[in-house]
Amino acid sequence: MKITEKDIMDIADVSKLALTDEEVKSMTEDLQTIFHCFKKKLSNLDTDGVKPMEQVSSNQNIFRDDKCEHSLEQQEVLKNASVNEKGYFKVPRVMEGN
Amino acid sequence: MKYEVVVGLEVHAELDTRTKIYCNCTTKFGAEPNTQCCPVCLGLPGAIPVLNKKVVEYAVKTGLATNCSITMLSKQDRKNYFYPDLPKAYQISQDDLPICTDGYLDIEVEGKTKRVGIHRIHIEEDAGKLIHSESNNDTLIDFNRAGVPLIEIVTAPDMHSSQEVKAFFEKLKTILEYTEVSDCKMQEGSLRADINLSVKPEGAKTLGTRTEMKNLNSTRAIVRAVEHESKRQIEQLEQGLLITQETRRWDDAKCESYPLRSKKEAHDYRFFAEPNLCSIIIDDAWLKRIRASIPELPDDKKVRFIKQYDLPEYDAAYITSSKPLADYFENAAKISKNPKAISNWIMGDVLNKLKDGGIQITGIPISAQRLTKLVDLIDSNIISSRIAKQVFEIMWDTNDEPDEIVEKYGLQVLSDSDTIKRIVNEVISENPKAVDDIKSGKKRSIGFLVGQVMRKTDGKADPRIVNQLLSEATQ
Repeated sequence: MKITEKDIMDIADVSKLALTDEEVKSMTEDLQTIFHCFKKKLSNLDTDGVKPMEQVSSNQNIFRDDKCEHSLEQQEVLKNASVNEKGYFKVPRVMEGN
Repeated sequence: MKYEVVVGLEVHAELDTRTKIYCNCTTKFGAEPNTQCCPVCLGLPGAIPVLNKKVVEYAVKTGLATNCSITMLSKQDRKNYFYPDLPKAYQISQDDLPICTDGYLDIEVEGKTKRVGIHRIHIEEDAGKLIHSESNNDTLIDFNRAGVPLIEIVTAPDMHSSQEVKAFFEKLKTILEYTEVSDCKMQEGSLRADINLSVKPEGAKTLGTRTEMKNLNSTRAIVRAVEHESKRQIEQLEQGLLITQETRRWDDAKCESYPLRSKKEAHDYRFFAEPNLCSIIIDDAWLKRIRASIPELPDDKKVRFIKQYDLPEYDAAYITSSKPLADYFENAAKISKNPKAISNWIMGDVLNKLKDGGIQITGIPISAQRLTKLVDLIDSNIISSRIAKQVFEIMWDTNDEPDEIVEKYGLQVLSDSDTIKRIVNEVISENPKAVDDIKSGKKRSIGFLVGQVMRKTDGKADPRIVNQLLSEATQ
C-alpha cells in the first residue's frame, strides 16, 4: 500500500489539523516507512487457526443495572468550559457542514 | 416519462430507560441544562463507559418484534467526527456487528399488504443539544441528552410513496410503544427519522442519486418532506438536470428543503472497535427471556379483536394502533355484553372528546367500567341512546356513575304507554296539518310528530312506543 500526500491531507482534514507543506511531505514519508515495516512483520506471522478479534478486551457482557445515581452539579459540569452562559457551554456558532 | 420514487428510512428512537447508555445519569426530559451529566457522558479523560443492560434488552426486543435475526456476538465501535454536540469527538455506535439484522414489517396501503425490509437495528448514544443563536453568532450546548440511549433502525429502500412511508413509520411507532421500548414522544425528539430518497424512470434497474433529509420529527413532516422531495427531484430530471448527492434540511414551517453546505470530501468516520467496552454475547437463555417479555403485538391483537369481539376490521385496526386505546377498549369489552357498542362509543364520542380537549387516552376521565355501564343502560332500555349522549357528557365532567346520573336527573326512558299515549294525543290535536299529510300518503311527516313527542318528554319517551302509537293514531 502506497501512502500519498493526499492521504495525509485527508487525514489531517478530518482530524482538524493544519499541516504545512513540509509537514505533509515528511509525514507521508514517515508513515510510508512505518506501514512498510508493519506489513513486513505482519506478513511473516503465521495466522492460521487464529480467530478474528472483534474487541480489544477479552471480557464479555459487562453491564450496569438501569439505576440512577447523582449527576454532577451544573457549576461542576461547566468548570471546564472556556465560556458559558445561562448554564450552557458556549462556542462559536456552528452549523453542520460549515 | 413516469418516475418511481424509492425511499429508505433511518429511524432513531430514544429508549425508555431510566439512565443513560454508559453512565448512571438520568434520561429525564426537560431539566435545567447541564444538570444530568457526569465525567462519562461529558467525555472527561479517564472516564470509562459501562453498558446499560436494559439497552441491549430493548434493542433485542425491537429486533424480535420486527422479525430480525439477533446477532449472537456483537460489538460497539467508535464513530469519529468533530462536532460540538459530541464531547468525546466520537460517538459510540455499532458498525459491522449490529445487534439485529435482516428483519421486516408488513404494512397495508390501499388494501394491499406490502413488505418493507429492515437492514439492521443497532444501539448508540445520543448527542448533546445545540441551540444556535442567529443574533449573537454563537452556539449554546446542553449535554443532558448526550449519552441517552438510542436504537437506529435502518430500512431497505423498499418504500415508493409517502403513503407507504407513513404506514411503515406509524407501524414501527406502534411496535415501539407496544413493547415499551420507547415512549415515542416526537415533540420531545424521542423518535426522529432521516429520509433517503431517490427517483428513477419507472422500471429502471439502477437507483437514481439519492438525497438525505435528517431529523424529521413528526409524521406530518415526514409525509410532506417525501412528497416535496420526490417532486423536486422529478422536476430536476425533467429539466435534464442531475441530482446532487447531498444532505438537505427540511423546513416544515415553510414546507421546503434546502441543501446544507457540504464539505468537499465525504465523511470518513474511521470506525474502530471501542476499546473501553467488551463484546456482547446474547445466548439462547437470555434471548428466550427477552422473547417472553414481548407483549401481544398490534397485528395479533387486531386479528384477536376481530375474532373475539366481532369488531369490523376498520375498528380493530384503529383501536389496536395505540396500546393504551386497545387496553381501554379491552378493559371495557371483556366485561360488556356488547363489545361492538363499546367500540362505537370509543370510535365516536370518546375520540371526539379526547381530541377536543387535547387529552391522551391515558388521561380519559371515564373509566372502562363506567363506559360499560353506560352501554348496559342503553341495552337494557333504561335510557335511550339519545339521552345516553347527555349522560356521557355529564360523566365526562363529573366522574359520577352513569346510573347515579340517570337517577339524579330523572333521565330514565319513559315507557309507560298511558303517559305516552296522552302526549301523542296532544301532539296529534296540535298538528292537524301533519296528520292530514300522513293520511294522504306523506309518511315522512311522522318523523316530525315523533320529534314533537320527544320534545314534550325531554327526549325520554321510548321511541319504539312513540312510533307505534303514532302510526296507530294516524291510520
